Amino acid sequence: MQTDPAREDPELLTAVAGGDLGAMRVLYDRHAPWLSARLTRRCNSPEAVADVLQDTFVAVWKGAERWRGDGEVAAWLWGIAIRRLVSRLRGRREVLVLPLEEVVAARAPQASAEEMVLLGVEYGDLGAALQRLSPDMRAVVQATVLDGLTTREAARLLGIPANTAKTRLHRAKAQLRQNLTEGLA
Amino acid sequence: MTAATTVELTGITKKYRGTTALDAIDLAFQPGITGLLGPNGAGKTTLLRIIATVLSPDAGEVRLLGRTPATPDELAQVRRQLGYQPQEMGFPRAFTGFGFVDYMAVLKEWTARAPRHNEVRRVLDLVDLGEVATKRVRTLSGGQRRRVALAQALLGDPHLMLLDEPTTGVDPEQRVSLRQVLSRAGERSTVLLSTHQTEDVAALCDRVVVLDQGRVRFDGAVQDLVATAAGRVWLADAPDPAARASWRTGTGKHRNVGEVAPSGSERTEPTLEDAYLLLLGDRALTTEVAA
Amino acid sequence: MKAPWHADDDLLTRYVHGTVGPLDGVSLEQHLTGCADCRVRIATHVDVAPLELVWTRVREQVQAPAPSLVERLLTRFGVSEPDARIVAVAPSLRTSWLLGLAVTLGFVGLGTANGGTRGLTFFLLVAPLVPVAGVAFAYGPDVDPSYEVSVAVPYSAARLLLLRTAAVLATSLPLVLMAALLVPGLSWTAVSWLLPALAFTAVILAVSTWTRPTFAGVGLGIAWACVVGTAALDRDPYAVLAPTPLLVYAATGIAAALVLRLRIRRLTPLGSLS
Repeated sequence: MQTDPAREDPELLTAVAGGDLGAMRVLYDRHAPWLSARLTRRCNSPEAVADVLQDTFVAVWKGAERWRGDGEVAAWLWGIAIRRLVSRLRGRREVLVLPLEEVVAARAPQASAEEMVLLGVEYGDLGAALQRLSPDMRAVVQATVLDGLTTREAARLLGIPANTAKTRLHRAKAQLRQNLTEGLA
Repeated sequence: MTAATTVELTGITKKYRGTTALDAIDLAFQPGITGLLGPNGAGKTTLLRIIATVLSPDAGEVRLLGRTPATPDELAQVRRQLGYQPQEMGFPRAFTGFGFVDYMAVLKEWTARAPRHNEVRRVLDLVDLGEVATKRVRTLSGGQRRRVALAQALLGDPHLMLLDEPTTGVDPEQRVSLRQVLSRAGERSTVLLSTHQTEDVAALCDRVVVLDQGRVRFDGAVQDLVATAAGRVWLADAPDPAARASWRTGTGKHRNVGEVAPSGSERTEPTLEDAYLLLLGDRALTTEVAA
Repeated sequence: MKAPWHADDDLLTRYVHGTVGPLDGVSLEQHLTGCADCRVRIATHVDVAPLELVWTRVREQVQAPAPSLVERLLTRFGVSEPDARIVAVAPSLRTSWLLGLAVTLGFVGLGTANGGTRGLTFFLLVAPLVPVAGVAFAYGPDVDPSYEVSVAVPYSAARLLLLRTAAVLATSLPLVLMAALLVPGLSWTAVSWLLPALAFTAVILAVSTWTRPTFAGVGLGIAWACVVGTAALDRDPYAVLAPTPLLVYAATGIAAALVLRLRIRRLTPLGSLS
């Protein structure tokens, strides 16, 4: 496990663009763990996650120059990874995609005070409004608004028809708007 | 199966446009590390090229690994046991370090991809280029390129390694780690190291051959060559004009290499460099002429 | 401005094991995007072994040199991967060379299409020399910066040269043929240039057993330019492809091939390197 506290992510990316494999190794050690965990929450096949992780970093190697220097490198990496996952799911039936809520199906949808605090920190009012959405709608919002996918890609990720995704997103946004304006009032 | 003597040269002569590069050289090399010392134009590179089967001598016989390669098949057999690092090496455009060593591995008949790539990684790690092997060779420094050239010579752990100035241009820390690589190689293989650096020879070699103007001036153990300078090296406060060579050392004293003791001087222990200077005199001082 | 919270180990463990609540999960994911410390900490909860495996696969994919267009074509046609590598390294088999060749031949072809002896002369000068140039730039100390070290290898130099020549012919002759189709009055000329082309290829290969391919190529080029030039001065460029010269080319080619056959085993080393 290599750690190189001296070099920040953007600097590493520049080195990778120049062909430095050592820099890519550092980047990998820093980001592969959380990326693989986050991918696993959307697709519970370890082989699929491994393949996507591999594709992601090969894409990073080839496309490191395309990093525009805006925002977090981590967010950029996630954007690549989630798109690789979506394109891999095209036409594959055996890969099981975990709807985010399956795990806690039995749990009451009532958020704890802690959860509300965290949500509030990360998302502000949006967090509270999110909490009041149904799991189906929340999943679509997460995929599109938070992960940055199109409705078509989100549909593929969640294993639902594209139209359903579009409708759910539309309804979710309406409800979010309503929740937010209620909150302000 | 392999003869104890890896390389046997008898009467090797090579002439270039009237100059004699090598004049009836007789030499034999066994496993271990032998240093080849000599000024520019001494014939070291020509000698290595002939042993590497890259150049044909005008006269004489070359026996490598127990055979005199005449047919292409025999040549191929000998070359399977050979690693050669030339003095100057260029690289095809746009090759990465890994790509180039991989290409050399293909030429050395590593046909299966996975074992070949593992071997390429192994030799690149040996010369500490693992992390930058994916950069284009043209973007690497001179010392790094030298190490790429050395790495390809290490492919397959050959029985005979011919290295023409492997540490030239390599920075000091890297030189230390390269010495370790070379000394380990010398435990199993026959390594011929042509160099200007007497420190490399002193550090690595059991045996040294000194070439000058196409002739062998010394062939024997390193300590024997050093011993020839015993009693002829002096430290004085001033340079001695009668000395063969004289220079100011870091301690302020002048090191004088010569026959006669300058007045007020003290004798000191000779190094290989002193012995080399005594052997070749002024000719040794042309060593560092830029190419 | 975010309040500085960090994930505790309990949250990270639950997240990695999939037992975290959906909202916490969402919050944590958003947090990880911006917090390097928590990213480092979550790494301690993730199984390292599969990640190492993925890394070795990434490294392999990234280190391995990407095959060029010619290399891929060769493997498609059944050439083994190592042979294709060795062949495709030649400068005259690079994509850039082939593109340049195509463009040049395009101009030459258009020149002939306009009619007139000048365009035709140019075509007759260039066409048989294309494979000669290809061979001259496929091998040898002038075109391969690593030539010296690539001699001291077990791979047969004869095989290398012949394979590269075959690839040169396979890639350049079709290009010349297409330019030849633009020659007005589609006739025998459109293909009869093949005879001197192949003959000269044999000649440059044979001469390469004595001297560098570049020298041989230049010599051949000058000789052919004289021949074509003489015919052009007589206002009859077609003369170089008349039956008698064609016989001469054929004979020369066969003789060169025989010489090559006899001397091919002595292809390495090439005498003096300097």
